[in-house]
Amino acid sequence: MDLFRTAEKMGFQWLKILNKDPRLDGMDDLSGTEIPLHYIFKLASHAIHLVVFYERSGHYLWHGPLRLKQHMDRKFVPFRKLHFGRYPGAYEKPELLLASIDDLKVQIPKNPSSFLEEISHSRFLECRYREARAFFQLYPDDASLDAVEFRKKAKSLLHLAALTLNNLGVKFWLSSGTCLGWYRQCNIIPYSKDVDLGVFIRDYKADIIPAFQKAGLPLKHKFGKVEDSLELSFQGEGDIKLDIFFFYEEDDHIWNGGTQAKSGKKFKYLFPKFTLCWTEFVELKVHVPCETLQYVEANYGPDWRVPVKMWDWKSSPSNVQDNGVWPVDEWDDVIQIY
Amino acid sequence: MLNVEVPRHPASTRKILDVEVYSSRSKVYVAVDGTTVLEDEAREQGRGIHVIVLNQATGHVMAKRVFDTYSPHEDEAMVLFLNMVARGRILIFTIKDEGSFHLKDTAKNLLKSLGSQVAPFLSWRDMWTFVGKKGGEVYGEKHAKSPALSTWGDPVLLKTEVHLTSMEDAECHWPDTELNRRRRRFCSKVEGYGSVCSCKDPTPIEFNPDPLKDNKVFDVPVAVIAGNRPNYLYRMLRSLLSAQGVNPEMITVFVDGYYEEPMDVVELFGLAGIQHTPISIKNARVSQHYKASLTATFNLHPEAKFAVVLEEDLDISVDFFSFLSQSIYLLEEDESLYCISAWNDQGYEHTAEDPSLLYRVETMPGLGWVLRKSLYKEELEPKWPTPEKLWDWDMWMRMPEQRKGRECIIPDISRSYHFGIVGLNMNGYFHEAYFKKHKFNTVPNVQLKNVESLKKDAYEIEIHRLLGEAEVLDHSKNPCEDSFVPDTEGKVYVMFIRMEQEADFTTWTQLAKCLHIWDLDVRGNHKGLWRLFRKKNHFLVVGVPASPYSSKKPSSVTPIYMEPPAKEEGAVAVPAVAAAEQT
Repeated sequence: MDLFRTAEKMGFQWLKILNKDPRLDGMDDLSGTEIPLHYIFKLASHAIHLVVFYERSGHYLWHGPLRLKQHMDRKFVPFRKLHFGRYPGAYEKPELLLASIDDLKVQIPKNPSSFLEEISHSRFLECRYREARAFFQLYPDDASLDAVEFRKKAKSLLHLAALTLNNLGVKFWLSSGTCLGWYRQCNIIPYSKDVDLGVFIRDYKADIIPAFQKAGLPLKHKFGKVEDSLELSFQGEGDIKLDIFFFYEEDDHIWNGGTQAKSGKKFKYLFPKFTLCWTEFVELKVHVPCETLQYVEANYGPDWRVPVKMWDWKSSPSNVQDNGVWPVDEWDDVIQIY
Repeated sequence: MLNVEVPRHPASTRKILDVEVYSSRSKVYVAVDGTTVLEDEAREQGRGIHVIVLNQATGHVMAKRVFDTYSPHEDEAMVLFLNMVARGRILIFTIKDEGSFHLKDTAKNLLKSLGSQVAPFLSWRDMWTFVGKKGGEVYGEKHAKSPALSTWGDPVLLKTEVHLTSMEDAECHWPDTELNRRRRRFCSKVEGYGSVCSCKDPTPIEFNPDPLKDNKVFDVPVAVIAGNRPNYLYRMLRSLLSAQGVNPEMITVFVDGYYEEPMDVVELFGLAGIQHTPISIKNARVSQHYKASLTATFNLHPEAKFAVVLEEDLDISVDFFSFLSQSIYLLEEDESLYCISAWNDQGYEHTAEDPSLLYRVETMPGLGWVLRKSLYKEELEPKWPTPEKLWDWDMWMRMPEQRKGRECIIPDISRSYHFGIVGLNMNGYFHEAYFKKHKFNTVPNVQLKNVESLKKDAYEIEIHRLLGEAEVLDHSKNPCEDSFVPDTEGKVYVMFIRMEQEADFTTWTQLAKCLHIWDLDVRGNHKGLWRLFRKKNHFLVVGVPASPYSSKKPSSVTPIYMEPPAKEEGAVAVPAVAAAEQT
């Protein structure tokens, strides 16, 4: 309260943006008072944009979008020029440093360039809880002990994979069944069997395999090669696997490859071009394709809303294409099973 | 329903309300300016005198009560309530079915003093309506006598006009402070909270309890699980905010439903409140509310490793946070612990003595407890009962599949007091029998003794030490008699009862019954050992041979056996085993 009164005394005009607290979003319908997301202080032709960050489960900072309400002055400041607020954003929690700037003591991120670099790809998507609730009305959730156990293992595996890839600096996103689970029901699909991640082939690092080995996830199979249709699969605890699909970018589409071990047959899965956004999934900050609906529809077709328990990766996906066969002399290289 | 085409008075500087009040055997209603503010024609409910309080400047409903003055003591409650209402408020009364049978003189005189001419003569099955201003004029009264014992008076419809006053006249003139602005917002909306709304010397709404040195729970979020018992919530929050070391910024009240009055109470104290759209029914609704509240608590405080869980019908002791600050490290360091609870199921006025003493028990008492985040996120939340399962959340938490052999830390003297009489699992009889005489700590800043000895292995050493020190009582006497325990103070005694195997509680249950402690299910045991006080002596009960402590029994002593009485003269119907909290 004092901040605003003092600012007014100094001649500032100010504006505050409040909105719903997304931390109350979930499978339950909760509503509390709105939380402050942004403040703008204006004096003459200068404006100070105060962005309010909230810490969320998954050890990251989140800020909300800047949306003007009906009665607000759209000309208060040139809103379009602001760096923050077009979308909600997610950032690594920065360590702060006390610095002296123009004789003013301010806190700044310990690593400013790292923080600034995050801005251009900070866009955050909330999970679609309302749609998830509607989904569970139609298809009641599996509350069996097996399902609970599987979800626990899958969550653990996902956390470990995220840790390993983040340490390597390899960007990844939720793919296939894991992405569908996020998009459709904000949770791991209990009959999905594996955890699926996507990585752009240009981000591939040879260190990936030894790093996972070191983390307790040995390589189960390696299909394809860096130049074509690369796919890695790591063994998690119990029955569960971690599948990493590598995506290849073309001019007007993106694809990943699949291999059938016994026949050497190759498959190609096509996706429209997509960009990556952040989201929160099972207490983890992870990437998902921003254009998720397109991505999910490409993979699962228009009936993606309907649970399908028997999924055949060779034929079920809508976007699968035959892609020939590996030459036999390459088989040792492109089909490695452990 | 009302004809909404009721002609209104032309807009004038002095606003006039049209009030309609209806009283009959099976239906009552009250309408203000064409809007029905009370309507009750359900069978088998709502009998007695309905009271509505309107704000004299706005005409808004500030309180709605019904006092079943057909039954005893309700008239006393009505007198208490009416005495708390501020002068100048508009009071509306109407009888449904019968409201005179236990309407005693004190109540009748009070109604007379409010201007009623009929109240002193109200009798069996009379119908009655009355609208008056407290401390002011009567706006209307109508009455129909019952012609014969077997019949009711004719239905009565009273239509009258009430002139509204200015806002100024309806409010107190407290000094303009932030606190008083909150107070004004509350007091012009709600009635029935007594002196917090007094014009002169209103009760404070800000408490400045002493800070707690080295407060280890300052950053622990506190979740208050609430329903629609705003007067309970009010009482509870007062005690919570008066506890030493409380951090109001960490408190969130979760209301199960879109009820206004509990949120008004939350705002009065400047706290954060969240409303939850209720799902399911009965105990499953409560269970879903707990889940939603706990999940939200950890989402709002992602760095928290624990959460304190409280309900709206508890008084909180002044040293509640001090107690937790001293003991919470146990929950962090000892994996064999399930929770820390402020409640001792066996801690009655005659069986609890030492505020600095802690126990380990194999039950989860609830009623003011600390939940470890990892337990919730990794174990409980993923398999929390789904909405169609009509289970009590705390009974579910106590099941071996969830508890997995872990124990809770409790104090000998409880740090919470359960005052709720009305609720899903509560009633007056149950409260009287099991909760009223519960001992509650009122000593501030109690230093807990030997907290380290509550860890798993250290506790065994402590038990063995105690058993070594304990004097074996004369097992030929009746353990239910006071004389079973000598007239000493501060000594340690031990008694051995028959306990054939781990789940044999036959004798214990009988003993609990005759000692007038909790006997509805088995609580407070640790490996077949119970600890309590009798006549200010520490009293240990060991179950033989099931308890590992049986080895301490002298060979000459025969464990006492008590069996349940033969089922002849219709034994008292014991209420179905239920958790004792919740809406």
